Amino acid sequence: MKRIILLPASLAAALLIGGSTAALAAGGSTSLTVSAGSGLTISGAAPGTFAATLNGSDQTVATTLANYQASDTTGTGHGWNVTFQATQFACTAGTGQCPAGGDSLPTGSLLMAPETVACNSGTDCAGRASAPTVSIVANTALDGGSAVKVASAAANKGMGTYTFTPGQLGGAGNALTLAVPSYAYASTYNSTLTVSVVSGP
Amino acid sequence: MAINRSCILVASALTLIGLLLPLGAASAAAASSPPARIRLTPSNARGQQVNGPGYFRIDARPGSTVRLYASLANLGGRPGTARLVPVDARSAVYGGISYNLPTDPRRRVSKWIHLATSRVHLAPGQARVIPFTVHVPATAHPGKHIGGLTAFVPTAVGASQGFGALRLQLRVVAAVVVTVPGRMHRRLAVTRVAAENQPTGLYVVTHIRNTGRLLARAHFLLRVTRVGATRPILSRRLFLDTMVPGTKVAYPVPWPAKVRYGRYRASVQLSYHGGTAAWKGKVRVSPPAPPPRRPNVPQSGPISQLGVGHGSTAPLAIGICGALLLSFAAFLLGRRRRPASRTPTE
Repeated sequence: MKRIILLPASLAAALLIGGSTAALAAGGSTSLTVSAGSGLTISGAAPGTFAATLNGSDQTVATTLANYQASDTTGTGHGWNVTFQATQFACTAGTGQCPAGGDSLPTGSLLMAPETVACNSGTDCAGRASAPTVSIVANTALDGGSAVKVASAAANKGMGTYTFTPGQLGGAGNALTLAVPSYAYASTYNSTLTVSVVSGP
Repeated sequence: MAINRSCILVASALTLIGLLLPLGAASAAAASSPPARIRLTPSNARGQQVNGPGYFRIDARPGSTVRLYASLANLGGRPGTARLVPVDARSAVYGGISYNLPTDPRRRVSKWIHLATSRVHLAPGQARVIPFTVHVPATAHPGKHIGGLTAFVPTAVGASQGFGALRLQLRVVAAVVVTVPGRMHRRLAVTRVAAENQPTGLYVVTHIRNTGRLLARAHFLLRVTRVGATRPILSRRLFLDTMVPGTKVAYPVPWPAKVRYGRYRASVQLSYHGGTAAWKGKVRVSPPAPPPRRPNVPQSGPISQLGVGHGSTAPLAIGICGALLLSFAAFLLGRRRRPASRTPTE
């Protein structure tokens, strides 16, 4: 009988633990509710995966990069920019044939082509809502150690929502290429692609 | 006794459901709503927007401390725990400001920033005010010092597959610009031009350093001519975006013609607001360096279907685990049946 009474108690305790964890994560900062949709945000840009078959020679493989959207609804006209940066591709020991201590591809292996930008419907595309400028003019390595500024909206420009379409590279539909050296291991090399929307000088 | 056993079973099942229910609800919500979109803006202590450039800009003397507030909001349809991290800035590939990754070492302005909290759980439409201080060290020199605050909801690490796996991380950055008063100047220097073999080809790389104390951008003319020839193989006017004081840029331009090894003459004429810089010298184009020496590990393709944990030892490990589980199940079954057969003899 006692065990039956304990059931709802344990269930309630489990639910309480979940709730209090979220409250503790707040860290004591002030909380308030914002008006929906005001800010500088970015979404999209999901990359594909590179497939390769080692053949004893250096080769280049390609994959896709989804369109991405940048949106400035701050109403301040301060301008903004977008940067891309990838970490050096590296495999982890024990994954496939990756040796003890791991391995990495040379920096400068991941290329991106200049993109195009279009104003979303509902964005005037003129005056303060003028589209941002694409900042790169040639295929550019993203994993060189510092970011690449790919687009920027000057002050009193770029106030709206814009869709960026990555340029084609490495065959139809692809937008990223990876240089695979002949001496790569049969493994999975991982990298993190960080896409930033920046408010700054 | 039979009732007690049933009670224990029901209790265990319900407790398990109690524990799993929030997780199930969260994952269902995650699947149906857009991801957390984070907004980061300067604010006052009450979370109201403050007048300014949209990022943190302060004037501060060496040794002083300034208190600031950041408003961190979730504009998406899904709850999330955002990370807030101070980062340093450097110059991006073609100039422009590159804000370091949260995992990079903190060396300059990022070390001056002290946050009240670095992890914030946000419901959809919710904002929190994060107080922080910027303490300018007594040794800071006059000039512009650039760092930033970056906010993001960490992307879950999934099973990687294929040869090259990219994990996407979206983030927002708000610059923290600290001006330390005093004498300051703008100065750029071209340190060298080199032909560099990179994995994607040969590049002419112009190395430029911001040796001043202010942000600077420039235009420059790059010329490359084969020794003994009169007509340049490359003559381009290029734009160098904003450079952060104390940092350098290695500005790459793809080699413009069919690669011929040998010596070339290169020149750079650079002009920026308030000054000029120039460089002249020889550039050697050589074959790419041989690949690094590797331990003798067999390389067999295809690798397009390789994933984490699919090494050659995986099938063996799975077999051992399976055998152990089966043995354990057989042992349990044996123990349950044995008392029933023994009872008459006891």
